[in-house]
Amino acid sequence: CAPLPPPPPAAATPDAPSDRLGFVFARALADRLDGPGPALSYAIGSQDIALAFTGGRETQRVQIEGTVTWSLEGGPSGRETAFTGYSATGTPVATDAARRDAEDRLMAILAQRVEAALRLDAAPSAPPLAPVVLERPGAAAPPGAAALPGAP
Amino acid sequence: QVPFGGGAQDVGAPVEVTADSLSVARNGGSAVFEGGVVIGQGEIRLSAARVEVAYDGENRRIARLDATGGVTLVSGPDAAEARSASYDVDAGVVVLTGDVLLSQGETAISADSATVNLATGEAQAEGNVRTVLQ
Amino acid sequence: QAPAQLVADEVFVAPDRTLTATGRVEVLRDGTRLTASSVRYDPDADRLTIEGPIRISEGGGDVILADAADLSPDLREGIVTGARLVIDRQLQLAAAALVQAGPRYTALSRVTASACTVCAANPTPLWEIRADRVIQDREARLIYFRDAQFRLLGVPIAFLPALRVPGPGNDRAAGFLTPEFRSTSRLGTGVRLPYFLPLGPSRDLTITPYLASGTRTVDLRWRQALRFGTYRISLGASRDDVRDGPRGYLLAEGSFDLPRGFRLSAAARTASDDAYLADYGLSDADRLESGFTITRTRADDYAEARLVGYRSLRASEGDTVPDAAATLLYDRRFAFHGGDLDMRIDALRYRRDLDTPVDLPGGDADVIADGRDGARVTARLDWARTFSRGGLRVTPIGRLEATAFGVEDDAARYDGTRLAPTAGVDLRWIGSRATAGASWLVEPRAQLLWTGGAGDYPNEDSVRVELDAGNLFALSRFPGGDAVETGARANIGVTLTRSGPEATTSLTLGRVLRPDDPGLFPDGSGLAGRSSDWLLETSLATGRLAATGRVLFDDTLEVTRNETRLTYSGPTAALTGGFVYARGHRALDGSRRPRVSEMTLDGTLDLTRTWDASFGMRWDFFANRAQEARVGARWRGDCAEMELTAEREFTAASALSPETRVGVSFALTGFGDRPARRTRACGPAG
Repeated sequence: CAPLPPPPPAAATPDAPSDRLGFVFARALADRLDGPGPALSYAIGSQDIALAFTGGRETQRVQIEGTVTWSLEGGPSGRETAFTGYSATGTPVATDAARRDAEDRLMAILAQRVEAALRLDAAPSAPPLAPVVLERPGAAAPPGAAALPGAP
Repeated sequence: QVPFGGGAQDVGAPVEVTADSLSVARNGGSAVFEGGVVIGQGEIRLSAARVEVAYDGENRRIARLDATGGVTLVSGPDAAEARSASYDVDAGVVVLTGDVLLSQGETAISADSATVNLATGEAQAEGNVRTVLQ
Repeated sequence: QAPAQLVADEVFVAPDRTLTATGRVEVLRDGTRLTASSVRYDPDADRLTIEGPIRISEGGGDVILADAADLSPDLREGIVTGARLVIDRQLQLAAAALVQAGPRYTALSRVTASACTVCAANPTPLWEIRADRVIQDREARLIYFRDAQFRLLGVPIAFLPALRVPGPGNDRAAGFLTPEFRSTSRLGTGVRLPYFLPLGPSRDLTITPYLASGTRTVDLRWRQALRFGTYRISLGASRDDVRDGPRGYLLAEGSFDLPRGFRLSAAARTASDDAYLADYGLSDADRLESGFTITRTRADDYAEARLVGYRSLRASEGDTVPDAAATLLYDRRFAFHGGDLDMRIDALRYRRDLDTPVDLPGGDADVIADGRDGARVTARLDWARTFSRGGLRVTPIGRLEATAFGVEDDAARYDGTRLAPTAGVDLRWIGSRATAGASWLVEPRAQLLWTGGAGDYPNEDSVRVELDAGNLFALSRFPGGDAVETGARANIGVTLTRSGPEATTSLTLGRVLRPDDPGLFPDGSGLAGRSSDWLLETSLATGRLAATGRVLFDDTLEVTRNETRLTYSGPTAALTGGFVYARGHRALDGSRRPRVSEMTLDGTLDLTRTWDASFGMRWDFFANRAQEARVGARWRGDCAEMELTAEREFTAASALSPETRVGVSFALTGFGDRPARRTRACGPAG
């Protein structure tokens, strides 16, 4: 049968990281991309949310919510949000390891989201159904809104 | 407290006029000096490119001078420049118009027009007046 | 000294050489601009006599409005009568007379100062300060009041012989910060009154006495910024009714840049007793970590050395858990024949205070020997190379991992070393399709892996395992290095992403298939059994909303774990919420984990232009009651701010009785770093 169409390209070189989260994110993204390319700058923010307190206010579970605001040199930009969780009920050594693993998984998910956004931006998109997209009055989407550039 | 022009006594002094050329109107009521005209009256010096002089009835004393084409009026330590000026000799009042620049000692005043009373030393500047307060 | 320039419609030069300018008179002198109806300049006396209405606007945003003035030509010296000084468009001082004394000081007499918008309709401002004399120091940006009287809604409520206030925009002036009135069920009702003392631009000390019916506390916070880093030390001492004897805490943190790209972060955290930090609302951490971490991050390698001491504040934990640990990590990637060679060395050393080689009941929830100390060194080499044709990505994977273990004070017998080779291949296909108005991305992926090296090894750091889209395709799902996922397995999954004009949605479905049950994972992790639970992750992102859901369910559709997070930020409201449900299970360290079903919700709402509300709640579905509730309201007028917060905890345990905290704080704006809000223009009456 006819060879399947090649996927929309996604090649970029993430900026050099400045901390562990950046290191894990940059490597996870490099593993998923097609290869080096224009510079991709990124800023990672994360926030802990403690959940499931026991009687003595002991945290049993923590969710880490992470966002990465990225922009490709001369190309699209965007903001991705994801979260992972870990159990804080083991010993302090186990909890530290569980936390780092949760951070690594969060970076893996954010890297997958950025790769998908790059490919979707490169993908040809058919003209939209509705001829005119009404801009809601006063609905100023926050800068770097996650609405991807695939939109017209 | 030195008024503009050094003092009142000059106003009555006789007026001498030197110029490159002179043409007198037929009825003798006025004359036109042209080319580097300099009018002297005591301490007062008025120079201009063209000065039209109007004489009073008996043709003996100058009543009015209308200077145009860039006028410089020097009176003792003070000076004034303008595009044109008219000097009512009897009243001792000079009206300068067009990019007027009055300078008295360090203070310099620029304006669109100015009226200088050589007798009292008062000056009145109008229109877009600018000056620097030393 | 730059001369002042005068511009006007008319200038009259009198015989005595005085100049009288009338008609839109302006005097300009490097940054200061004066406009008036008439200005008389006497060159001999070198004075300007000015008739109003006068407006003098300084370079720094201060404005003086006055009726008359007698100033020097450089507008620096002189007296202004019937003056109203507006500082930085915020603080207004109306004065009978204002004396300019050089470029730095302005002295006003018989003054009324306020930052509130005063309108003809309601002339009494919310607050005003009347004083006989006021001195504004423009250089230090301070304002001194003499014999001041503070009036609230026109009613004098405080007389202060001397009052010093930071001018607007001055955010490092010494002085009292906003007082906070707090009432908590354990410490009674009282007030916290912080005093801020800057010592130069890079150091400051804040002393906060907290006096309440149930406590006498003083709190010190020292902050310093060095050329190569910053650090802060907070410590406090208390005598209160909750616990007899002196109580206190120390929280010190610092981060510094070392040479050659290394960074050091250090911390010391301790408290006199487990409940102190929670009682005083300083931190809700239930474990305090002290120690230091040195890291270096570069494009291709990461290095980290960490020494940490643990101080548990949990009632359920004593000294049967490690109280100190050291870790070492070096991870470097080399390019190798078109693929990547990752070399990683990591080591762990942990210590327990006790030496009991067995797990005595009642010590803690796990079955690890109460005195076990241990060490581990792991060396690992990964190789992967991707071959791509069209949308297909084929990546053969090789890993060689060698680990050595050392254990003390543990009666159990463990193997000492482990060699865990891994071989496998990763198959990924990326396809995209465009439909009307949206573009799709579909990515089926499969990993076929085998790992050797099964055995009985001490497991300290890998006793809590999770499954989500972040490690569905990881070579080992154990969080630490003590345990390795062995045996044959196939990680399969598909991710679908749709990007439309308004929203981006994505869905991931995956599972781990195994020929037989390796018996490695606890049943609550979703990874137990011959095949793992199904993993379903969905996410939705629009301009304002970001929601992610993750659920693990088995073949009978019974849910093992379900977690959701949602954040919404609209023009007037913001909301963030989290939900977690987890079935009860026995963890790898033998501890029995109870089931959890809980939701947290936090939000802020702009009610009106001046009022906004905030709320927070934590709801326990199994206990069917709230664990914690918080509500707050803030009023921001044009010249003052007030904040009310009420917090109620419903958790009850021996060390901590349920706590209710109510706080009120009131601050005048228009001073220091709190800008007044010029929102309310005067009504039609003007």
